[in-house]
Amino acid sequence: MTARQAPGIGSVAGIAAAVRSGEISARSVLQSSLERVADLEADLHCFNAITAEKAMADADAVDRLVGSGLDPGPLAGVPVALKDNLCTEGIPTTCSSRILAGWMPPYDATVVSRLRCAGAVPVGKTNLDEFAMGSSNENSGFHPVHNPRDRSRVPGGSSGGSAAVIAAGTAVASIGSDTGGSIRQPAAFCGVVGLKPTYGRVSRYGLIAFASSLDHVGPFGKSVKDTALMLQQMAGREPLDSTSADVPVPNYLDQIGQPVRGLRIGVPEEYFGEGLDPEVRSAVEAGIQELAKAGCEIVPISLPYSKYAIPTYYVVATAEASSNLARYDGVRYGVRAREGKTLAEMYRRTRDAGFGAEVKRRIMLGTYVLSAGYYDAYYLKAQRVRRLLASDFDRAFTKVDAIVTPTTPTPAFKLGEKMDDPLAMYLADIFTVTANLAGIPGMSIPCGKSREGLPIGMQILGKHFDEPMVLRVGHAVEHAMAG
Amino acid sequence: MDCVTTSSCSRLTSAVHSSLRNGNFSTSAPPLGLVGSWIGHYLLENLPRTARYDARVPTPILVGAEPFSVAGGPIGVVVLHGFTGTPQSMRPLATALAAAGFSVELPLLPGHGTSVADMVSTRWPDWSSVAEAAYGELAGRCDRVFAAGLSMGGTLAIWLAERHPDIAGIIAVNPLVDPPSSSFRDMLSGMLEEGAVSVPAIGSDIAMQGAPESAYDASPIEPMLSMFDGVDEIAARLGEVRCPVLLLSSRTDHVVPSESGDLLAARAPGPVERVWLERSFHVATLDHDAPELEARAVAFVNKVAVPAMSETERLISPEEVRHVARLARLALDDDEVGRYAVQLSAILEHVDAVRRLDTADVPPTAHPFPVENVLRPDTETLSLDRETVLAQAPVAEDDRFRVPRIMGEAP
Repeated sequence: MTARQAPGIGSVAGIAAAVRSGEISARSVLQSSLERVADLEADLHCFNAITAEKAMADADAVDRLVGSGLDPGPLAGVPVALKDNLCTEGIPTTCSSRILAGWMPPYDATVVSRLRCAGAVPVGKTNLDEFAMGSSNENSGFHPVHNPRDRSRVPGGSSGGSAAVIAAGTAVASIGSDTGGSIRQPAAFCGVVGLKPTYGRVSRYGLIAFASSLDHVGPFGKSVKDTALMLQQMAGREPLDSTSADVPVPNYLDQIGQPVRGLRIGVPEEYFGEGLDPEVRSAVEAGIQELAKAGCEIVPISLPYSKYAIPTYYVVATAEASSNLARYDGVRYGVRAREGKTLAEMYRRTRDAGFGAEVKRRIMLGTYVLSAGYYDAYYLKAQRVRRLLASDFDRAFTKVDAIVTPTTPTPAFKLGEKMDDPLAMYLADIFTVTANLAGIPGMSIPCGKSREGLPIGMQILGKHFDEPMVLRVGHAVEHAMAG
Repeated sequence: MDCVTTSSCSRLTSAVHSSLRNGNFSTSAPPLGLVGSWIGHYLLENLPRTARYDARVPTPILVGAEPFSVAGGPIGVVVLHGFTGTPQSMRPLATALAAAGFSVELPLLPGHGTSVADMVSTRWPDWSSVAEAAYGELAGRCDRVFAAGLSMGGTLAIWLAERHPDIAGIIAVNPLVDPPSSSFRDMLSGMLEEGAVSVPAIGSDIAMQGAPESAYDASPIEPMLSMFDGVDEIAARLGEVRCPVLLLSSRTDHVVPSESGDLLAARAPGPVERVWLERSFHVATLDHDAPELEARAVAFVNKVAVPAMSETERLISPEEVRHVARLARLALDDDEVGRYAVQLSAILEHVDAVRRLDTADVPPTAHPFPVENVLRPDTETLSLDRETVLAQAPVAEDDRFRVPRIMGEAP
């Protein structure tokens, strides 16, 4: 396997097999990954930190195990990138926020330790919208990430860096987090695969909280299979996250490649209405056509509460965020503003200087909807509507095995295009927030391109814990579109 | 930006300056007074010094008193001067607004800017109709129109706000809002019956040295009483001032007492942003705080006009934004307050669809996947090392996090 194999450096399964067999060294895989980083990073700003030294040590450890005849694990030598809102012991973790500049977590997030135990080699921390709040990565407190497919465009957000490293080939797989679409939307914009698992499927211990009832950790990969291999190592109950589900983890490769003949695929009319870019529509319809050709039964369905998803989401998410972000007060970690003479003044100055505009906007909105006199009207109301949204899916899944939709209403937009209009930016998540509100799994896979060559994403949604079905359908579309 | 100092404004104030605009007038007189003080002591001390004026041929306009008009962008501002004053007192503000890209009309009110004799026969309806015409002029060519005024000009701005519910906002600098007492008015009427035409005016009430106001040195009594009628009218309808108000109040004002501003702030149901001018007297537009006043006015128009032009109803006022910021422990500056008021209102308007949904029978969701009573065995395990944790603290001391003092602070 050569160092500059475009567009990346091989598949997860291919690298792991070659490293485990001693055919190539983890170090050489890592080197080619780092070389590519060196070539591209100055233009793309995917990373907040590149941990080359630590990665070298990890890669060498993998190689030593192989040399000793031991198995380093199913992800042996696979270079992975970690979203910079996952705690990494001794490596700065910033959430792309000035308020956490220089902070070194005292422990690893569970997914990070699981990946390392499986032999994966973390190469760096990827850029994101500050505290994962954003749909374009322009809210990063450091640099906006540029889309590797078209550098004048956003990579999506908030896991823009984690999606872009896959598109750029600077990592083989990566981890993101998804609170309202932050894995699937950038996956669509960058033309890669991104999976948000079922709520509770993957431990969130060590994921810096944004909105606890909506936050998910999930993988990115170049292919459905790569993504499944990552999820395999990440999923499962873990006592440090009380919301992680005590549900057995299946073998996620089992259903990949299984025939899809006879599967019932739901197509919700609400996701194909006004505001959908015509090129996105025809690309996704072409993908659906492939499923029909493969023998799926295409079932028109309705998810009537979909139109309430964005407002419901932005009430619930901001309310929870305002509470979760109360901990950034300049006392225990991160940055403290100097001038504060009293504790309250120090809090205010620290938070004013430390948070960016979008984070403040969401804290303000969340505080407002939770404040006296508004709690019932906004937050409680939104939590009721959330049940209606979830019941839409419950009803639909009595009739269908999976649902397919566009991931985003448009392909990647230009940098700066929506920065002055927060509401327009929020609407970029219109097709993805529903899965977070309902807690169901969702995956975005590449599904054709626009005339300008911009990637288009198809979203596949499944029942709670039915990731195998989502992966099976996704693989079928991927396979058909490639052929 | 092109200035049309004569053409469009001549329509507005033709009665006043149609044939007079090129005349010369000597300003050798000492810095002149503003509005006659109806408050009390000054006037009473000077009561004997009354004067009579005869109707005579119109006098040329005072230097600097010419009206001012700028055809700018889609946001317009009517700027109004005070009783016995002239556009001269408002020109710096008008210029600043024009420089910010707004369309501006600063008319010369009837009877003003020439000589007291010309003013004697004019009344509140004459001045307010010119303010109305200027407003109409701007409303005809602008998307959003504001009114700004000093003293009686502020009164006129309020009057416009009460008549035009769609006015974008008003900027009132030391406006006269609180109606003067009947005893004072009776006294003025008595003087009138005894043949007096006017009373002396207070000299330029400006703290800054060498910044004279161009105004009459006397206040004609009948017009003054008529102005008070106008104040009665606007004071009774302050509940109709629903637009955002920027109220600029001089800490020291020898002409209009601060109760007037208090009344406006208390009664106007729309958002009132009050700014105290610490270093200025009544004619704040020409005083030490003029630069701040101008900057505030421009910022106010900008922040209010933006959502108005996107037709977004303002659901959150700047005051509410400040309240929420206090709850959230965020220190926001005025720009941020204005911006968040606009943006949060737009977002909440979108959220309103959810509020209208009938969900009486729907239980709230707290968790996307039902989980109950997650417990773990109560066993001792290692926790994080104290030194490691404290090493990440901004300030630590004696195994503890150090914080600033907490006693005696404001909440």
